[in-house]
Amino acid sequence: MVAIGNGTALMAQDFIETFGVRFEVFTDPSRKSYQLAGMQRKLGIGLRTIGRSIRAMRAGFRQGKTQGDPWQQGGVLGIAPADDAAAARAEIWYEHVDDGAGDNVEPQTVLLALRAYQTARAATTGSAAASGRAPAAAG
Amino acid sequence: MRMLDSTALGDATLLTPDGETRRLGDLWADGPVVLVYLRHYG
Repeated sequence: MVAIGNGTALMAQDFIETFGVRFEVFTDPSRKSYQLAGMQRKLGIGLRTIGRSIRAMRAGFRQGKTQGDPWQQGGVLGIAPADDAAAARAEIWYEHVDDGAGDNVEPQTVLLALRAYQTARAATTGSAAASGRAPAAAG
Repeated sequence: MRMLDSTALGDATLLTPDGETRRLGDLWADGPVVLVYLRHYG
């Protein structure tokens, strides 16, 4: 699992240090990959986000200073190389496009999708699928 | 599951926290990967 943000490299470094992040973090200040991956750019705050915010605060989370584009929404993309790599194709085995703040995916949901993908791959290739970068704690 | 022409997405470049550039497509070259797009840091 890797995380991609949209601030500066220094903001990414601060994010890693502040939250003790143990997975790889990259940043895309141009947000080009966000656009290509289908992520939305909009306000992202509405009635549905109020309940999510309350739940997050009750769970002990606090919103810190926003570092990056405040309009950019996130999401999750599960991607793998296709059999025909020469054709520059990839398989999307999971995708979730956030509709706003707090629209997060449960890590277990992504893990189940990964296992389903690996099982399907093993069935078609006759061998175990490449292990890749399993989501230790996606979300 | 769907197929994606990954030419453009794969060629997109990212920065490491140290400011070095990485080609996004290299992240899934060897197998499946989960890309978590953050709304923002913080």
